[in-house]
Amino acid sequence: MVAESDVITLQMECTLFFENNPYAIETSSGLSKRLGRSQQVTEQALNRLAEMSILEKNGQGMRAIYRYKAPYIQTEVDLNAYD
Amino acid sequence: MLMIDTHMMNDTREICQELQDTYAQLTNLLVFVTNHEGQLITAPSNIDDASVFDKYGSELQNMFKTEIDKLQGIRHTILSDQWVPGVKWLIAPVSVDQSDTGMYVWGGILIQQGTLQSIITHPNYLQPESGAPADFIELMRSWIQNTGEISPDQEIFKREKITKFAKALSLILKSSFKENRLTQRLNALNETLITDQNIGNPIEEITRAVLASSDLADVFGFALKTAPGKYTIMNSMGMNSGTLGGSIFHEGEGFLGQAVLSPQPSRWRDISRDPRNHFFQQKGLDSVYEVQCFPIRYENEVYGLLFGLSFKERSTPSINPQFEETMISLMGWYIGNHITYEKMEKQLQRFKPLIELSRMIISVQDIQRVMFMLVDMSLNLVWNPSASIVVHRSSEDGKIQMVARGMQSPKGETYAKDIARRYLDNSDKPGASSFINSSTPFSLMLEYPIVYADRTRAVLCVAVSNEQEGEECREILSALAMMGSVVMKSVHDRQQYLSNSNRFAHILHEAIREWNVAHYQLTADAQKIVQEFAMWGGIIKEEAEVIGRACLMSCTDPSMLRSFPHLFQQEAEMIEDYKHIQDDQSILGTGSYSKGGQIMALAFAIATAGDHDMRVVNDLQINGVDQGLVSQFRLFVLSRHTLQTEINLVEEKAPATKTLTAEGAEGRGLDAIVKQFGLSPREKEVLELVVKASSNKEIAATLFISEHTVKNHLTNIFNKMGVTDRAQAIAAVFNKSIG
Repeated sequence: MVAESDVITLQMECTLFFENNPYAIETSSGLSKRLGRSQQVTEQALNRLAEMSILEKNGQGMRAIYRYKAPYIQTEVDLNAYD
Repeated sequence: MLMIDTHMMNDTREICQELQDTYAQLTNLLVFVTNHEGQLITAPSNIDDASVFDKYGSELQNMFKTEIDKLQGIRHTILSDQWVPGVKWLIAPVSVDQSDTGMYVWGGILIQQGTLQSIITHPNYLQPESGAPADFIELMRSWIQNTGEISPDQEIFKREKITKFAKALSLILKSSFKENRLTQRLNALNETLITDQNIGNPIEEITRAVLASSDLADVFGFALKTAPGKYTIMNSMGMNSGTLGGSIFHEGEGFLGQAVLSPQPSRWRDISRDPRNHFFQQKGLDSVYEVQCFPIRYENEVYGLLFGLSFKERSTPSINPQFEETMISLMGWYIGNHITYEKMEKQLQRFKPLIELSRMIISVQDIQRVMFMLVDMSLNLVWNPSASIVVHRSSEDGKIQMVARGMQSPKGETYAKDIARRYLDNSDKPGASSFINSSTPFSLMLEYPIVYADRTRAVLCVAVSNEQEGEECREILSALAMMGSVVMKSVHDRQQYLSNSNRFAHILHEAIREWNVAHYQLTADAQKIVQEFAMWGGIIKEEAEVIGRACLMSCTDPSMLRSFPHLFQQEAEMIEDYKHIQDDQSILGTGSYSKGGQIMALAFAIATAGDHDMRVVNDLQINGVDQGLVSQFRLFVLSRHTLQTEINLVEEKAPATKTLTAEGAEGRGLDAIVKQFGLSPREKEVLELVVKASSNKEIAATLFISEHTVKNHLTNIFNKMGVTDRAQAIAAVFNKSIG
């Protein structure tokens, strides 16, 4: 049984990976090889990130591919134009 | 109800038998002890031949049972002559477990003075139709004939003694019964707790198992705090208790609500007319007589409540109420402890990854990147992630920057402005404590001001589903916000440092112009070459910044530069190394000087010679500079020179219409390469960007592929072209274009 802390650590690792490689498109198998972790735990972490909308998931099961969903960014919001 | 004879231990049975025989001798009576079913518990006393009891066991049991059924409810010793008129038996009840059912002492036979003759001459005297076996009738006949008549005083004496024997027996058996019951209860508890250790039963199951085997109340319930001041009954057991599950009560409300406010167990009796009983009546529990409550606490925090309800008709109070109360109180402490442990475990599960994160986030040198990380990591750390936003004051001119996930414009923007108004406008008075905000367009938001350089510069806001979750996530998110403060301060300090360094470096550079214009121009050219070298991919941008500043200040005394606190330490070292190389005093040997110093030497060599002098490039050989670096620089200058040459060629052909860039080379060089080495269209696109000095990351971004894929393409391109790195590939493209 995988410890919850290990899954969260992996979630964070995956998050950082996709933040560093925002155009990466990966399967759980590919990412598990890159990170040197088991595919089962990697898939669990990736699915949680997809639930949080940090990643976008396309497809199901082993063939599902994941990519980073950039957060909503707004720069230069003018504070002087209060609502 | 436990069978008396089954929990009567052998040693207890022996003592009872001894006592029975002693009283039988003292009273000169036949003495039996039966249970409420009429079964003999001990051997009959004062009977010479007891074989008849073995022979007619079931018939005699029926006789006793018939008599017992008529005597239901007796509390004192009575005299009965049911079997043979005038032949009396003393029957004394023995209370064992406070129930109506128990044991009976039979003492006989007693024949009053002057009645024997009339008994034995009675027409129905010991007739077979009485239902008793013939052998027993014969035995009875011999008992009657051998028994003398007794006086009233003797009868009183015998009654007292049989009563005392029954009481003594009751005390012995009660003690034995309690001990036995306690052993059984402890065994059951032990089994439950051992099971818990072995397979990790959920706490609800343990509670259910412990309460189900308790006889303290008729109905038990288990409520947990589900929000501040709010409790939900998670589990209930006992008759008609099903309706209690899922019920909600609040602190101070009714018996249960009051009990959670007390640090001690609470008890209310005879509550049938109490208005607070309405809570239970609503659930269909109409006849609650008593409520007992045991708070689930750990240290000063209440997590829930264990409670027991007893009904009026409950006739068998607990065998050992003190033990049960202590046990259930301990159970409350155990659950509280368990909940605390689970909460701490939950926090620890997130602190470990947070520590890992701190190692990675500390190297980030871009505010927006830090904001991305804070938003994404906060969602990873809360129990039920839904939304997160970081608002940062990016400048002093009233503009803010926001990064959000789970909330879109315009709501997100409105909320960001509200945050800025509340936290960032009053940034002279920083507030570092978190705040739970319920008046947002979203759910409850936990807001953490991020303070550094004496001002509130940013705010991290995370949505939580309820206040309880907010309380539980508060610490971990506070740690994340604190980490964000440290990293943002580091980025801020670095930006300040770079800004100051660049400003001072340019001031010093401008000062040179006053007394040496040529050197001013030379240092500016050298800095430009270093920047281009970084663009080409020879060094990273940050490294080029430092080397570029060193170029600008190259004629400044390094010891003077070192006198600037926290500034120019690296630059001073590079200038010293550069000067040693330049003066041909490279006593340390090739490649022993700092990389910055070596690059400065190369940049100045090129800047001094001028771009068009390719001989400098070919003969580039500086004592003290690493050969690998020289080769790299040569390729860089070659590509730079090739581009310049191409511009000139085209300018000659169409001077008024074309401005040449790398695309110019692409026309012939790139196409020729593609054709010669059979590159795929995608590989052509990648190579085209490589020629434009794009990094892998930039290529990935432009072509919407991962860096990993870019690397794969590059490996294929290099293999097809027979080159080992991008510099050689670029050179090949430009050579083709020239050739």
